[in-house]
Parts: sequence; structure tokens; C-alpha cells
Amino acid sequence: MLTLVPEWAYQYGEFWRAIRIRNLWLIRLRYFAVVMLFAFVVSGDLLFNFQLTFSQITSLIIISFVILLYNILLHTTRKYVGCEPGKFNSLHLSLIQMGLDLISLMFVVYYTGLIESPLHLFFIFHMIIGSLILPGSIVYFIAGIVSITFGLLAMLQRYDIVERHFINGLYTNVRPQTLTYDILFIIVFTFMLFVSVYIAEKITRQLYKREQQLRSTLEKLNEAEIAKQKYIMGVVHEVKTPVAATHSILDLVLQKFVGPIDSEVERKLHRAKLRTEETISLLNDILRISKLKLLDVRSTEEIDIKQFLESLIDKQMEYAKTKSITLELVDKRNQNRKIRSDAVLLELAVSNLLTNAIKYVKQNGIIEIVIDDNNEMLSLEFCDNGIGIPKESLPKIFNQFYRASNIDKAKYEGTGMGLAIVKEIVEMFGGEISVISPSRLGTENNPGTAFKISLQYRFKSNKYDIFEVNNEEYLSNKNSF
Amino acid sequence: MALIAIIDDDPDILDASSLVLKSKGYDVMTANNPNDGYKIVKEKKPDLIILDVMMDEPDDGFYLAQKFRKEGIKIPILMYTSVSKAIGLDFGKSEMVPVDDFVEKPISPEELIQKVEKLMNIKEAK
Repeated sequence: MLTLVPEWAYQYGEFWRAIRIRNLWLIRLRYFAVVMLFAFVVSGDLLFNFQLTFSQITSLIIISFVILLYNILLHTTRKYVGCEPGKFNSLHLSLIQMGLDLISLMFVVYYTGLIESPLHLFFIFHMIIGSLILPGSIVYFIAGIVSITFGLLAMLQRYDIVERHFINGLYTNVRPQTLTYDILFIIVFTFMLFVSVYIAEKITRQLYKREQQLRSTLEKLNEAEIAKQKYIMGVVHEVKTPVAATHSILDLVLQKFVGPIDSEVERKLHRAKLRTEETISLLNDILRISKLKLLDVRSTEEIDIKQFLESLIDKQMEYAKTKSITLELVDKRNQNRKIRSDAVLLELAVSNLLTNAIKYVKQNGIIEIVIDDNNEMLSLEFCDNGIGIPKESLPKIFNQFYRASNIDKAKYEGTGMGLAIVKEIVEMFGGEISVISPSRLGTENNPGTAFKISLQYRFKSNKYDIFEVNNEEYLSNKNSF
Repeated sequence: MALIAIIDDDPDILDASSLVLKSKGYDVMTANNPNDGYKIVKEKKPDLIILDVMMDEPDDGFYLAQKFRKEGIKIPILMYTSVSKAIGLDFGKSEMVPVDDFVEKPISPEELIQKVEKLMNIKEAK
């Protein structure tokens, strides 16, 4: 299979996303093109006295229908085309689209006068579009084919081997151009095609590459930050161990496990113990901050929660389809207010709940996501009719490493960390999470589960302090050693 | 009297814990690495194991606990943790962490004694 993927784009999600978006954009644009072509023929014939012949009108209308037809076909098959470099992917779809478009356009241009046709400018447009999506060599090749076909047709027309079509109404007299004009036209036309490809291709590649560089730099920075925080946590832990041991030994002595001590010595030892407590409390703070940095709230942004959920559902749709699940998004809000949050963390939390729902719902199950607002909070409910959660497991499901007792561990993969993370994140944004099982969608055999999270529209940074280190509690425990 | 095995790579923690437990009349044996710890548990079949969560490698304690459970050793395990609470981890009893209770360092003698007695009582009740 023809590999259309540039080397740097193999593992590059952004590239594929861009290609898919451009494909869809082209498909939408093509509907518009069909309408325009149809309008061109009809209005030209009725309003502007194009004096089109019967064969021109029928040909052009047939071409519009053919374009419409293959566009509908492309539109419906588009979503099944993946992004794997080795297989038939979105780029192949782009190439097919371009080929079909150029053939259609060649016919349209031919039936409207070829060299005389004002529509030949659309070839340049196609070259630019092609360069945005496909590798340069292929677009150059296509430009070559278009130039040759165009030139050949022009020559064949000149010597009356192929029938000529003109928009008769556009010209006062049909000019039999000189051969030099035709040749000049073809040369300029070819030149224009190649120059357009060259420039568009160059700019696009540069943009892609720059974007990729930016991204990899950002990734490296983030990795460095994570490595730093892990290093800090390691060091702090190493330091904390002997300090904790010192504390224990002092405590042993102070609690006279090793024998009686002088009251002055006891006072000094007590001071020493206090200082170790101080150190431990400081180390705990550092650990807490590092942990928070690892779960960095990098950037908060305005998020339209409905769009956000729709795109998430879109991402999970493939997975949901494998089980023929009905996924519904219900918006019950009174006002459409945006929420300020960290998109990455919010996605982590929400997609966790969504994948959980899909994972634990049976074939043909139902999942309902409800957006609601009350008391200055935004609430999201993830309701399903899955296997549900036994009553005795409910209080524990947010604990790390915990997995409910009714989960068949061989059947459903998981670490038991998901809900703990969801809870952490939701609380990070000043929200709450609750769970109900059986849910309102549940039946006797499929009790179902409903998770509800509430989020503040504006989360305040002082809510950062979510990792409860009970220093006070620990320090007030006078007898700790 | 009940026998308790303490496995921790920090000699001072071993010393301190032993002292506290011996003062309550327990028999104590110690090991300062997972291998020796495994051996003494297999040989002497203690009534309770106290295990440090991190020894040479992070998670050493978890692996050892899992190893005991896999081999059908059902002796209650009390685990010493150091950073878990500080970084917001709250271990519950689970398959991954098959231990019966946790003690966060620094360890208070009261808490240690109380948790040891609790586990012993459960064991006797069985």
C-alpha cells in the first residue's frame, strides 16, 4: 500500500487530527461546490443567457450529481477510516478525494470551454488544498497529470479530434486562438500549478514541523519537571527515614523504655524531639507539593462543558459501539455558563467515569450523561444500567487500589486507582463526588450505577490543599515517638 | 507468648519496635532485608509480621506481602509506611496490598501496641 505518511508524522496524533479535520472540511465544502455548480448552470442558462447546448447542460448536471453521490459516500465512510500508517487511512481518503475532484473538475472545465473556461482557476485551489494534506511528491505528480491532461485536451480540441464546448453566451465571437496563445496558456497554467504546490507545500511542512518541535520541547519540559518532582520525592523520602528513626529513638528514651533519665536530659531530649517533628512536618509539606506538581494544574481555561463532553463521548464512541451501547447526553441547565478548569485533569476525571460506565455496562446497555446546574455549581451525572456496585463496596470504591467485590477481575481489567484519581481531581477543583447504586436506569439483573460530580464554575487556588497531611493531628499526639 | 517478626532495613526502627513490643511481653525476631525476612517467617511461623513498605527498592514490602499470601501464609501483616499519608495515598486492604493494617512513620508506641493487640485478638478469636 502506498505510504502517504511523512516520516515525522507516524506517531503524531496532532497530524492525524488535522488530516481528519481537513477531510471533513473538504467534504462539507464539496456539498457547497455541488450547489454552486448547479446554480452556475441554471442561473447561467436562465439569467445570463450562457447559451449552453443541451449536451453541456446534461453533462454538467450529471457531473454535479456524480460529485454529490461520491461525496455522500465519502461522508458516510469517513468515520470508519482509521489513522494507522500501514493500513488504508485518512490520507488515502484524502488522495481519493483529490483524484475524484480533479477528474470532475476536468470534466466541468472541458464542458465550459477548457482554455476559455473561467473555472480552470479551481485547479490552483485544488493544488493548494492537496499540498496541505498530501506529501509533496504526490501533489507534484498530480499537478503533472493535470497539466498534461489539460494540454493534451487543448491540443486535441485545436485539431478537432475532440469536440469543442464553449459558453457561447460569454463571447461576442468565439475566438479561434493562435497556437502560440494555446501553448503559452498551457505553459503558464502548468507553471502556476507547480508554483502553488511548491509554496503551499513548503509553508505547510514548515508549520507542521514547527508545531511538532514546539510540542516535543513542551513534552521534554514536562518530563523534566516530572523527573525533578520524582527526584525531590525520592530525596525527601531518604531524608525523612532517618529523621523518623531519630524521632522514634528519642521517643523511646523519653518514654523510659530504656530506663530512667535525668530531668534536665529529658528536657533537652524533648527539645530535640520537637525539632525532629518540625523537620518531618516540613518534609511532609514538600512531599505534598511535589505530589501536587506531578498532578500539575498547569493551566485553567474556559470550557464549554457540553462541547467538552461531546468531544469526549466522540472519543469513546468506538469503544461504546463494540458493545452496542446507547450513549445519551442530556442538558438540563437553566443557563449555558462556561466553567473554568484544567481541561487535562477534567478530561482525566470525566473520561475515567465514562470508560468505567462503558466497561461495566453489558451488551446493548444504556449510559446517560446529565448536565445540570444548581447552587452555583455545575453537576455531571453518569448514569448506567451496568453491573452496579454492591452495597458493602460503595463506601470503599474511592479508596486507592480498591475494586468492588462483584468485579470479575479476569474479565474487567483495572488497577482500582481510577475512582481515587477522579475523586482527587474533583476535589482539587472544589467539587464533590457521590455514587448511587442501583441507579434510576437499573433493572433487577442490571442494577446500574450513577456517579455524580459537582464542580465549581471558578475554582479557587486556595483549594489546592487537598492532600490532607494531618500534621496537626500527628503533632498534637503528645505520645508519638 | 506470641512471636512477632519485624522486617525493616532500618536497624533503629527494628531496635525501637523490638524494645516496645518486648516491653509488652512479646517475643520478637527481626530481619533487615526481604530475603532474611522471608526465611524467618517460613522457619519460625510467627503470629504476626511487621513489614516495612519500602526497603531496598520501593514496593519491596508490597511484593513480600504478596509473596506470603500467594504461598498461603495467612499470618496477619502490619505494614510500616513512610510517605503514603503525606502524599495523600490512603491504602485500603486489597489484593494488591494484602496487609491487615498500617502504621505511619514515625511510629508512636501506643499506636503500635494498640494495632498489634488488635490483630492478635482477631487472630485468637479465629
